[in-house]
This record gives sequence, structure tokens and C-alpha cells, in this order.
Amino acid sequence: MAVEVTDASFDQDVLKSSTPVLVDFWAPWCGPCRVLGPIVEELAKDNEGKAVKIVKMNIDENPDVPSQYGVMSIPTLMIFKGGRPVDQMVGVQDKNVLQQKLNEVM
Amino acid sequence: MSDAQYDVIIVGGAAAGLTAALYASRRALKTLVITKSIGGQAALTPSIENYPGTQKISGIDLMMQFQAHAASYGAEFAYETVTSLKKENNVFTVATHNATRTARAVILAFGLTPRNLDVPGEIEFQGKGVTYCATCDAPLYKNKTTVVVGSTYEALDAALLLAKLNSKVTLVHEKKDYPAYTNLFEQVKASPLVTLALESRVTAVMGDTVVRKVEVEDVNTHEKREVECAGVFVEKGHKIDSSWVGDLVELDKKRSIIVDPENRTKTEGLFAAGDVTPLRDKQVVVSAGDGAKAALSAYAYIQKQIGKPAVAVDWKHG
Repeated sequence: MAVEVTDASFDQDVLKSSTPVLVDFWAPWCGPCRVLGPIVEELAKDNEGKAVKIVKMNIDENPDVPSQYGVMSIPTLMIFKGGRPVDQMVGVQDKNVLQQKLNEVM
Repeated sequence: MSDAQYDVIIVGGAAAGLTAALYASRRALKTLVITKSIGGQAALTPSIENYPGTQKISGIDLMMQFQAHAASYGAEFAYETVTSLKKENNVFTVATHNATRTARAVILAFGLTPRNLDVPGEIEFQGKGVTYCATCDAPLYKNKTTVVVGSTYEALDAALLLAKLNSKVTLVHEKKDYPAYTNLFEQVKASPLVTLALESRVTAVMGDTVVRKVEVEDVNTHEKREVECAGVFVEKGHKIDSSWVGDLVELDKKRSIIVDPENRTKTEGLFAAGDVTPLRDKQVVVSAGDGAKAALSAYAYIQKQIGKPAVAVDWKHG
């Protein structure tokens, strides 16, 4: 399951993570986020036990991190590796495409 | 017979496409929906109160129910953007940025696309400040400075929504007023947070990693000035973007795809449904019905191709 991260836990859970992290920035009022949510959950399940973390952040409850990383449209997916963003995608994405991107950074 | 990967590929995942997927998969056709997202225009509607059998439901909830229903009969989904369509030896080839797939029949149900600004910087800053959906993205611009562009009801609505979020809004419109929406325009004018840039147009979007400002031109004097902003909300209405379909379809003056009463386009095996066709009423129930018709026509076409009679009624579950 994709774990919820917060402004407070972002540093520890994402930036200091020893493995790459995919972050799904979402909000409950966003329709496309509702479409992407189950895809991200499936991706999390498919990658259990692998050297990658899949997390999500509710931007309504956590305004600081999205603002810091220029999240201007949701859903936005970002991949962090070694404390830095290495990829960013806006809008609903196909699971196969996401898996391919994860494979590239793992 | 062909060895196409799918019986039917449906391009578009809103009312027409999802209903077509339901009907096609219930006919045991191997069905794939290729779509950018789910729900199209309907998904942006906070409340739908005229879909029969459902007194009140949000657009996205209704559309996700449509999707789940189609998926329950085996319809597959790919969240991609179609870039080209070709037909050779009775097989269609549908290409996206990620994959190329083949099908015996194709249903075009990709609806409407937001109209672009068509100015330098627009594409570069999509997702980095340039947005086409106030309902989706306005909350991200709380307390920030924004520009709304357009002559539509949605432009006025976006300006008011942003002002409610304490965003300082500049509304850019090429005419003097909004004659079709006088009341709403009065509300916008009364808002202390909205500045009007009438008889003006946006000529460029500028920034670094994100949008920082736009260039605004007076349509009469052609004088240009810069307006600082964090977001540009493009609300110029919608168009049918069928350029990638090439000459497989015939278009009318409004660039709608011309279909016969059975949803057939000029190319055998290629069907269209919903808002991409000249269908007058932009309603979920109308598009859904149209999608069902297109799927049944595609089914009849495929049955004829493989030399079997079309079953006259929709199958029962299980």
C-alpha cells in the first residue's frame, strides 16, 4: 500500500530514503487524482519487497512540500532519488509507463 | 481473418467511450479503452442530477462507476495519448507515445479538448502554471496571483473561484464585456480581487522553472505590458482535436466527425460517438446512448467480417 507522507515526514521518508521514492501528490477534490489513485496502489503492490518506495501526499493537508517543489497542477507524480527529484509527470499515467520509469531508477 | 490484438479499440474514456466499452465487452469483444483520464467533461461536474436512475451524483463518481462497470466485463484500459490511426488490410493500427496496437474496429469517443492560447511559452509551462481546469487546479493558487483568459462562462467562473481563494486575479478578455453572461460578469466586476484587462489578449507566457508572468497586448493600440502571475488559467472553450485521425474521417464545419445514424464514419470499421460527432446535446445520457449504438454497430461489423450473424440482443451477465 502507498504510505501517506506529510510535510513533517517528507525529509525522513523521501529525501533521506536509501531507495528511490515515487510521490503521488493528490487532493480529495481532484477527479483525475481519483483515477490515478488505484493505479498507484497497484504499482505499490507490484513493487512490494523491491528497492523502491511508493508514497502519496495530500496537498490540502500538506501545502509546504508541493509549494517547494513547484507542484502547480494535480495529480503530479515525482520520483526522488538521493534526496533530489529526478522525474516529474502531470496527469493520469499508465501503470506500465510508471513501472518502466521505476525500473530505470531502481 | 486478421490477427488483430483487439476486436475493438475505443479512443476516449468518458460517457460515450465507457458505455461503448461496456457494450463491446458484454458482446465478448476483446476491448481496450485508450484514454488520457476518465470522465472527460462530465468528471468536472460537481453534481449530475439528470442521469436516469440516479438522483444526484458527482460527475467523477458517475464516470468511475461507468468505468468499473465496463471493466467488470473485461474491458481493458491504457492511460495514454493516441498519436496516429491507420487502416491496412482491414486492420487498424493505433499508435500512442508508448505503444502500437491493432484492432478490427475502432470507436472514436475522445470528446472535447480545451482550446489553447497558441502563444509562446504555453506548451513549455503546461503543468508548471498553465492550466485548463480551474475546478481541478484553483486550490493550488490560494493567496497567489493569477491570470484568467477567455470569453467563456468558465472564464468568469474561474475568476470568481480564484478570488474566493484570495487569489489576486487579472481577467483577460478580447471584447469589452460578456453579453451572454451579464449577471456573472457583474459579480466579477464587483470583486475587489479581480482586475479586468478587457479588449486585451495574452501574447506570451514567461517564467523560469514555473510561470512568472504573461505578456498582455491591448487589441486596439497593440501596446504590450507584463502582468506578474503564478498561474495562467486558459478558459477559451473547447474544440474537437481530430487532427491525428487524418483523412479516415470526414469533418463538418465545426470539425465534428460526420457519422451516419449507425455511428459509422466514412471508413469501414471506424465509428465515432459522443461529443466528437455533431451530436447537439452535451449530456451524459445522450453520449452514453451514442456510445452504446457505436459499440453495437462495431459488433455487427466484426460479426460480418468473421462471417457470423450478429446476435440481436445484449448478452446477460455470466
